[in-house]
Amino acid sequence: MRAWRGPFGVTMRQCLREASLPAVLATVAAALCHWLDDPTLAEDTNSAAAATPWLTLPLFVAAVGCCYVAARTWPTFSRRRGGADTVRRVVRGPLGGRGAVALGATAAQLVICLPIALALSAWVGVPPIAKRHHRAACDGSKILDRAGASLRFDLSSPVHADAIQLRPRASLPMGPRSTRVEVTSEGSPLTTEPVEVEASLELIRLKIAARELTELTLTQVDGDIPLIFQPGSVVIVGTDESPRWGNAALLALFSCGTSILALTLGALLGLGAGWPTVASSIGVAQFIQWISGVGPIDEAILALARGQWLL
Amino acid sequence: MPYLRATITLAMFSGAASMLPQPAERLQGFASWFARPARLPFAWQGLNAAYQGGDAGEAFARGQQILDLAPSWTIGHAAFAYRYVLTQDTRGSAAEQAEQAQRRLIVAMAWLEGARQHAGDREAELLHSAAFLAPIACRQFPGLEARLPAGGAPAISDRYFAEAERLFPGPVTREQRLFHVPTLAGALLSAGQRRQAVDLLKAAIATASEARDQKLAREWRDRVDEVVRALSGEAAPLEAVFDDRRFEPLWPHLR
Repeated sequence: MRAWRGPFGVTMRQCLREASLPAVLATVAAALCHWLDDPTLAEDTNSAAAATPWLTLPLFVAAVGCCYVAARTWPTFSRRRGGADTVRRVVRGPLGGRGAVALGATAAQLVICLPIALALSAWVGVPPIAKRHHRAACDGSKILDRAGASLRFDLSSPVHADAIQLRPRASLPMGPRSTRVEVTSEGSPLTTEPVEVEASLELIRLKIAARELTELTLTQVDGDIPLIFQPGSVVIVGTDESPRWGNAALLALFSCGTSILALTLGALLGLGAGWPTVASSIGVAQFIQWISGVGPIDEAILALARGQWLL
Repeated sequence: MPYLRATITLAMFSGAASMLPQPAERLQGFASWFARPARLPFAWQGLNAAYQGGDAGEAFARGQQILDLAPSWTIGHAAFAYRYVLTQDTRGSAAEQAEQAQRRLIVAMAWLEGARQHAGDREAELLHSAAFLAPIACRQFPGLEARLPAGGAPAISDRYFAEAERLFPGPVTREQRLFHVPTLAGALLSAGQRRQAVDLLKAAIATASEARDQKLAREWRDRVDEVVRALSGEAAPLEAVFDDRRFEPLWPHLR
């Protein structure tokens, strides 16, 4: 009850009051834009992956709205605000209530974003089942450049998998032949034939008999195209299935991280700057995370849309 | 309260707009034009994301979104269609890959058909791009040719060449279709349609004189005439035909 009357509760109520309607309007606009923009000849999975801007828009509006409302509501968030002296006398602690304000804003954002993420992910056709993608790591050289060369990729823990995804980068070819790679695990081949790679960053999906994998070995059989396996170019797809609603809920939770960062930056700047500077910094911090793709939220939205489990 | 009034106002205007004739198309057209400057940079960013971490289907879906904003960009339509058809993400047996390639080919060709309404003067290049898509796909996916209707990829190509010639009659479109005849005739012979192949070759003899290079036209007519006589059971010298790689699709049927 004390928390509800303090900076946390005040901020949360204010954010819900003021940021909900813009977020709902943005959701309606996103749904309408997706209906207008939906690629008609794409399958559901690819259509959802192409709809990431419409998944982003309402969550971004909610994040920005909650941050602005929180920073504007609490007087000590920026300099020369009315009521700041009263708040400093009443609220104890080195942060002056800013921590609670940030928590209140992110709690409100979670309440707003959770139903939006659940509804929009169903609307745009996000796959109903998400699978966990495990990145395999390779120590040492990551290049296959001659027949007989092999690379070993290890997993941090055993994975029960039924598919593998490869996406190597190709260097300049030394001859006319595409490179063929044999995929094995613990000495036994996982595919009936070697995999042929021609183009750089070409996605190669391999279906394998479901089995437990702890490591993967790629051996070049022949070919003239050197292949470079950068981090993330070998992915093992687990057989565990998770529901879409769980993935969407995780996305709503992760989206709160953007506000924590933006409000932290705003609070730091607010120690010596006024409201316009703090507002600008919050806006820019959110923009570069959500729109420019700096940080994990952009990848998280793509992963949701592609049916990849976010954890 | 102000928000409520604004929301109701917007809803009523939207309802009124929805009662206009052809509302969906007009709304889509206006929205596309209006959103283009803001939407295009992010659409390209999304396309790059698809190239880096998505599959060919996602890249194709993103490409469709870009081309919805720039519908008259015919080369873009062709480029995205080719990339989609010729990229095989999911590996499997040759039959599985051929089946998936067939599905992608059908989808891409339907998309190129839809792009024709916005192509204007550039419709000929769109049709030529569509004409070459099926043969190139068949070369990349060996089992695909067997899954196509009678006549295979050459018949599909000829349909597009014929359409280009009908819409844009001229020496270029005529000659393109004319010099495609051996490929189409070979496909018809492989499908057991001997009479149609012979008729096609006879028509090619009649139109060979329309080629701009008369020396080439005479030589071409002579070769085609030799092929027609051989297929009709008459004695004909075929050495020149077997030396000319343009008639390679007909060689198996002349030996």
